[in-house]
Amino acid sequence: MRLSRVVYPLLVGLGLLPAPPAVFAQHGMVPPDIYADAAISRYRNQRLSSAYYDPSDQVPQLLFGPAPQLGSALTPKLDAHIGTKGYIKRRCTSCHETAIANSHNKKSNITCRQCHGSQTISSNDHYFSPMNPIRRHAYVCAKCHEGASASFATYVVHQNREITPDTRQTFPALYWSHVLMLALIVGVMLVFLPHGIAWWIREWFVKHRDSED
Amino acid sequence: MEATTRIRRFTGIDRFTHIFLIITFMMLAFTGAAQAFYETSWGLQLVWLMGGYQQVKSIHIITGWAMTIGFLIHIVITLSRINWRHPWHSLFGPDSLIPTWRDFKEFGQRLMWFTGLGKAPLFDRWTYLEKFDYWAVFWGIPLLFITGIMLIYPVNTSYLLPGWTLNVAILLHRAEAVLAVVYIIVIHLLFGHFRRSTFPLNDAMFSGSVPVGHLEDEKHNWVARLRDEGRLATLVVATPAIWFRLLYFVFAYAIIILGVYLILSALPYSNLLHG
Repeated sequence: MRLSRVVYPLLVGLGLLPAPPAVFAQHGMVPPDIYADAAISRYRNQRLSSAYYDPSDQVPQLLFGPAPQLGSALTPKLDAHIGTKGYIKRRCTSCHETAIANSHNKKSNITCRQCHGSQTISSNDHYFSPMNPIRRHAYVCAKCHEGASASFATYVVHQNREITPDTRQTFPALYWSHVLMLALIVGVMLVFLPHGIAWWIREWFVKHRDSED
Repeated sequence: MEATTRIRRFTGIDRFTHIFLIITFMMLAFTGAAQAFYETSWGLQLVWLMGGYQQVKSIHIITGWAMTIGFLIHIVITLSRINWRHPWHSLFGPDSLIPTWRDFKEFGQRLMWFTGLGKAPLFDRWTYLEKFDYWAVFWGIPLLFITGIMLIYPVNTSYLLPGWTLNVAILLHRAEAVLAVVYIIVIHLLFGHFRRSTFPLNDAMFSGSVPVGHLEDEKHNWVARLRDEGRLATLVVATPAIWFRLLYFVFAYAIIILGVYLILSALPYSNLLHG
């Protein structure tokens, strides 16, 4: 091997050392490519919080490739919608009909994707899901609620109706608060509505001494 | 003493507090309804009328603070009225709003009177219903205030309490508000003003005085007690001027009409009150 083939690139490299980096980005931001699967690369970026640009962010694989089937490399935990027929052409609410009835959507027009993310939507307990309780307060809630903590993220956005057997199991505080308040309202009305009506009727038959009014 | 002679029943501070409570209550009820029924056409009309969702929220919060501050001032005034030399008599005597065993007895007596099985109870200064009205508001305001603060500052609340308590706070705030609005409008306003003895307006809280003939029927023991103590003549006040009566008549009816409008408009959408 000729010496110049080694020396010239070395010299060029030395000359470039003080130059600014070609891409103005954070140091050491390119992670080891251990999550090469484009379907989860989005989560890798979020996990490292590097603002690292990945073309697969812009071009979700599923839009162009065939819908993944069970038994492929993707699992339901990684892609919660695996095997959903016609997934690409459907809207979230075509299956999750009641999920739209929440105050985030009603009052602030927050869409599903603004919290749950673009493709691929993983199961909440998947390690790289932004909705994983270990990080959702920072990656999801704090986008709007500045300073959101893990405690804050336990607020239930998709709240069930209060009086259901399911809520009694999953959210007893809400269930019993509702039972208590309902009992209070119904109790007060059951006492004072008949009381008022009886009073009204009884007074109708009483002659008052009051002569002014 | 003639039956039409008016006896002072409420002080100027009491009447002002009540007017202040009416105004803040109705503002909170309407701005609250606008938020609760935001997704309906009626809710949107309310929101539009009050200058948009954010403004509705601001009005609700500011008015809530005003009501709470008024409530705190009321507590200070009330504590200052207690006669600390005779605290027992002052707190549990007939001039106090604290419920006693006699209220339950009078409630039973009145139920008997409704059915024609007994005589009407001879009330003292406050009836059981007036005491119930008072204490309902007294416990309602702190509950609405605490849950309201939680919802104004959800992130800070989640530092002290788990975030899911916000779900409970919304429920409690809304349920207590529904209870308050329905109770005040149906029981307090409609049955309060539209009975035979009070129609067209029970003006005691606005004029501050009641004709003594009326009191003989409604609060017989109070009048008897005042007469015995020789204080009846000192409480005689002039009949309010006609312009003043007209003013509070229009005000009271505006509030009653607004209240009935609120309930009737919200009724078709009441299923939305679930979370």
